[in-house]
Amino acid sequence: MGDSAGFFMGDPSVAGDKEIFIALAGNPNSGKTSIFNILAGANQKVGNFSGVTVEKIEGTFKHRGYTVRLVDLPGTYSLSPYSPEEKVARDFILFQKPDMVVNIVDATNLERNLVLTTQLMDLEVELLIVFNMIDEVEKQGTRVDYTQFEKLFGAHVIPVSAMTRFGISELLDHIVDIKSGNIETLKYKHQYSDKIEDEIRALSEIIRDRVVWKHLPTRWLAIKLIEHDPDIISMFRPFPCWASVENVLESLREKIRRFENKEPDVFLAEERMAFIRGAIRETVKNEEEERETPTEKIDNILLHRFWGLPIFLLIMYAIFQFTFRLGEYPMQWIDRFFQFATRSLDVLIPASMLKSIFLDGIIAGVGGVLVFLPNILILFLCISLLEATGYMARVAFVMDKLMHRLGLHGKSFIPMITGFGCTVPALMAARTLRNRGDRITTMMVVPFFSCGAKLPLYTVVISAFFAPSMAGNVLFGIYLFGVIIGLISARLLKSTAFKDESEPFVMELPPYRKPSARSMLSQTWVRAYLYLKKAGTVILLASVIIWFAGSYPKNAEVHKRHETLRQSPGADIALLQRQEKAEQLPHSVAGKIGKFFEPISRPLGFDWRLNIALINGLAAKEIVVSTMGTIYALGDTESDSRTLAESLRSDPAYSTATGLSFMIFVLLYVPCIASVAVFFRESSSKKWTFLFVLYTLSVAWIASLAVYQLSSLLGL
Amino acid sequence: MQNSQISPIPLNEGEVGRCYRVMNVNATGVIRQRMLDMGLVPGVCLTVMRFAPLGDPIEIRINRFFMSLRREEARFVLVLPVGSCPRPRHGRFRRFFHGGSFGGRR
Repeated sequence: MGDSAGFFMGDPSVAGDKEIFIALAGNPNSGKTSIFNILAGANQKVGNFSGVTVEKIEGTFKHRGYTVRLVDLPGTYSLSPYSPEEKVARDFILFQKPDMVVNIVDATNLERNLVLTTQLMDLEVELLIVFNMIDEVEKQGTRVDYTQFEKLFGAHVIPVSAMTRFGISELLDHIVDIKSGNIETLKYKHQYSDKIEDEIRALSEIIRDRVVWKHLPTRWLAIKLIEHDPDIISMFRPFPCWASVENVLESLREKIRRFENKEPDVFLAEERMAFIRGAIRETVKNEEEERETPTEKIDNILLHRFWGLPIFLLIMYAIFQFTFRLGEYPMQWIDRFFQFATRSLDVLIPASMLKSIFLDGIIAGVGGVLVFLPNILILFLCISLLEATGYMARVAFVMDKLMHRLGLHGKSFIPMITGFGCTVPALMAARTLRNRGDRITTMMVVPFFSCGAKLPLYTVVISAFFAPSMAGNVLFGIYLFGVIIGLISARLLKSTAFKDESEPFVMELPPYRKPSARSMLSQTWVRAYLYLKKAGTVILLASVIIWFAGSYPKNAEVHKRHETLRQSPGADIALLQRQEKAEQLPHSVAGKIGKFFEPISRPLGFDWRLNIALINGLAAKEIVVSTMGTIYALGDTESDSRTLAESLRSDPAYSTATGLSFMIFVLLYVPCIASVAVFFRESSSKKWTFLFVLYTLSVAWIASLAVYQLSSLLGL
Repeated sequence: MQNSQISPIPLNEGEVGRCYRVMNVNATGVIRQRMLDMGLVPGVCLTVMRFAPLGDPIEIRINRFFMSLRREEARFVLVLPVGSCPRPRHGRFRRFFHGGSFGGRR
């Protein structure tokens, strides 16, 4: 909302007679999403709230002749303007004006959940409170006096259980009844003490006549002014009435500070909590003394002083292995399928330029998109398992001290280690970070955690220039170098660009829950779908472009000579075709670009051929090796990596220094087009996407320069 | 505890397993907001559950709600040691029916 213009832009949707427009609000872990899934079923539409990367899930269903349109607001603890999720939820309620806000409340934890409810009450919306997990509460012998509760909160309460589906039809009926006027809606009781209510009323009187935002509840504006809500203050500031309002406001705030010895917002929060606790005291009866919860027992083990860390590392290791080892098989199938498709189509379609585009460009491109899918699916299944069970918050709890040293949040750990597998899912995993500064910083450094696709190249180069006994050390050194650069970069970014943007660690350690397979699968599917949709198109396009640049224009002379060579009896057609490709390369766009960049790549030890490999590597890092294969007119590079290493070693243009410098460059520069596309999707910032490319390129260039010059000096 | 004049301490100096009542929240900006939103407000009673294996974030329990915060954040929460936090809901009824304490003695 930073600019107050955003305040006026909402379009209150025009609801038809038989349409009910509902927003679902609630704390994280309140079971909001489960209830949404039960209500909306399969009719879900995933998008983003305008302008922010906060996921917006919409659904529709019919009940008793009404079409109910349901929007799942992000799970938040409050409606303060400090996080994008909360801002989105608040703006949505204020400006989209839903007919009703259904507030999902975790009945096992009323005290905290009702904080949001009191804030919704301040907004003066039509409110329907849903007590979820009521079965758990009743099992513990707790009884709720609903009539009294409804009287205090001024809203109807429906007890439900998303787990057993108890109360869902009552909820639906109630929604329709409220809309159709079959039941009377209740009037809000004010929740603050008389003294402060008087002040709120007085302030409301002052701003009522002067304020142009007639569609915003005046009482709510007054409360927010007392709390010094930055958005509301900046909204008022440009208007002439602000000077007089400010005077009244400041003396009121000063009064609270003096008498209560607290900041006004702290005092109002205390008042709300007092109201909540009073209401609970009056309406909820516990019979049983509460015992140590299962969550406490589990945490005594998982967060144990000595065992907490090893257990955590074990879980991380398992996820990593699961994602990349298990993902390898479907990846191979996808790869083989596309190889098979290429080969069969190669036979079926007559040779032409279109055929080449189709086979080498499009099919290869689609393959390049799909090949990441198994990794993404498995990793996100694991991540949503961590999130659904509640362990994700513990990951942050365990790792925070370490990550905080780098200026990051404990949750950054998962994207970072995922980066060792593949940058694309790692960037997507950064979503679990709610703070933008932390998220962008994490995303910026993820590429330095060397991804799996770079490994084949390291293997080739290391076997070309290093003794087998040294291979392990060199490889480890490369990985370590990446990690160090990544950590330095994180520190750098957090102390410059995102200096003041740190996520406070104040967060919930939610109770452990049995995850619902359904919501885990749907979350995973959403991720996969978003990846395919956005990244897919970009990767596809990029593959076609890179193919085109590598193949055209063709030199007519070379082509003619090879044509005649191929005619000669006993010619090895496949070999000749490869040789032609290699000879055509310098004439192609890619070759020209490679030569164009020679002046700046020379100091790093790269000639135009390595440049082409690097440029093609933008499509995917696997391609670096296969391009080098093309350069040396080698066959299927997978089986010929030893030959490739041989060719590299015997090439007079290259030395050990070149090899080292080349590996460092591949380690650090832009991971691939897919990652850039995903970076853009996840950051929704052109500026940061540009910086992502620029930063990785410059770091790679500088590091390679240093490595090449230094090792040349040492005579490597 | 036996001491009759106990003065508030910052929460980061709290001991594992002990109970405290929140007296004031002096953090600023987002951190304060987050604390208030999560129910870490003056008047509530909390138990220090544990420190993370590496020693930093601290876990506390308010009622049935577990939350964590860094030591540097906990520094701004002033607490007073109390005997015990009753496990079931502890609805300490203050102003709700008595009107305001605004200006009254606390």
